[in-house]
Amino acid sequence: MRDVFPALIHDPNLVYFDSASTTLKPQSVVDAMNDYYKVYGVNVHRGQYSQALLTTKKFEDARSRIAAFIHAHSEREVIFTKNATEALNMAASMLFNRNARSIAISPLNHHSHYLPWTQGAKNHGGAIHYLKCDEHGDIHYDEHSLEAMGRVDSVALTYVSNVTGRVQPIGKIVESIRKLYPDTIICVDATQAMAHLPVDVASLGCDMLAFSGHKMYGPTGIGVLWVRQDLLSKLEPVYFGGGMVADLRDGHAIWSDTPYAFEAGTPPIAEAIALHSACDFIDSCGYDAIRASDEHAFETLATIVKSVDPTVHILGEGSPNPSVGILSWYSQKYHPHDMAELLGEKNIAVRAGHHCAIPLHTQMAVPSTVRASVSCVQNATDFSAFEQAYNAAYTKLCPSTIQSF
Amino acid sequence: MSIYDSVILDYYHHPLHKRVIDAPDVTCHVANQSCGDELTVMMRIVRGVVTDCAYQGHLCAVSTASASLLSEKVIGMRVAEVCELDMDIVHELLDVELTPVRLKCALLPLEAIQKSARSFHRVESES
Repeated sequence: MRDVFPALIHDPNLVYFDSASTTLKPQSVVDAMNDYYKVYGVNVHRGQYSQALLTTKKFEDARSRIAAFIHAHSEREVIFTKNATEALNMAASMLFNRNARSIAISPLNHHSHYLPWTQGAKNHGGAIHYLKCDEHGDIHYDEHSLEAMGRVDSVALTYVSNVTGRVQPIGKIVESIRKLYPDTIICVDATQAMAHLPVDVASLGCDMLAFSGHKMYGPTGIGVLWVRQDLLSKLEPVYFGGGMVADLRDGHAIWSDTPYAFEAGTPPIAEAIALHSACDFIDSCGYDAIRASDEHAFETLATIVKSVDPTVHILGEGSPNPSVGILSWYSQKYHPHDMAELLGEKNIAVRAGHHCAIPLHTQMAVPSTVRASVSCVQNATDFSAFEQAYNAAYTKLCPSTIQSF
Repeated sequence: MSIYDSVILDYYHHPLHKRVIDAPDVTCHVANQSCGDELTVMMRIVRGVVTDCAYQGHLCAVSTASASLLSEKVIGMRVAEVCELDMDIVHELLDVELTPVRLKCALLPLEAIQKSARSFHRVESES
């Protein structure tokens, strides 16, 4: 599998355990990006010459592919953005502009799915309810918890935590919310889910869903906001400019049809075409194989990390929910930055810090963690290299005479 | 060269001045929320001179080394001189190439020491 990733051919010694930050890109995705610039190269939805029509078709085929990938009812529900952060900010802004004033979020939410709601509530005089998580970081969605939440205008849910890596039972959570509050709008951040499990907006039952291309083997610079058609038809755009207005006279604007009304300016054309390839790549891997690999990866990494330090706290360990192969851990014996830097010196790529998830770290009472996160690029050699480097780093940071930092 | 082959690891395992000063003249707490480094600096000051400087906290190897060396450095300095130190002193004391992220770790103790010194300086000027 390594030989389909140009970055790993360029650096064959790289042991890449930072996929939750960004996935490496397979050659097919790189080729698709390059093909746009080398073969097509023109704008979409504007020209009437053959190259423009061909490029527009390629771009809209990408939209259809992505719609099918997430089982959307229609490609008209798929809005291209520059990333999940923009998609989630757009979702929040549109709902606040439509008078949403009570929002529920959870500490599991990445800052990009936390701040748009809290800042929006602050700016519009709204209220935030904080859903609770258990000791594994899994969301409480029992009737008692949802009754405590009360009826809110919107709920912002995380499908997979970028810290614990645990898949939340979104379908069941949505069903439970709908039973009590049928008109609450539910927005899901699926950024960490897309590369690891099939995402089906129809079965999930949510109203909005967002993700980034670069975390599912696609390029940077593209994200998707999916919005159920009957909701989308009631929303007003929040970005304005070319391509999203059908008529503009005497200062009065009539917006274009969905989804174009929500895509102001020239869209990320090369990126959308490349994201189409990323969907094809994931299908070629197969989600069953991906899931098996993720769970094996989590168990292997957890075993390695705990073998020299059984006291290490692995966030989310013990959760009954499946893992997508993200392992974030905290040790009393060393600082995450030191461990990450020593691993980095051996070409092992991990991340240290709070991973844009301060609320979850606060709830778990750890200041920061080291995070190793997998994708389909790992092999047995990578895990051996990690084990060797981790043990050496641990010995350097924690010689037997030193007990804690 | 790895920064962990330098004095940094030595001071991490054998920190200087990582202790408590009873009844310090000034104390200051700082934290880097992004990584969890946090420290409290304590100083004793007699006639405008730092006569003792110590710290407590949870620190990475880089900030521990920096805190150790800076504490050692400022003992015997005038408060006004401590206030005028800049990041060059950290580079000079650690003598390793640091990435921007780790430079933040190295500068945290300087921030704490200078905040302590400035708060003493301010109180002295107002009295």
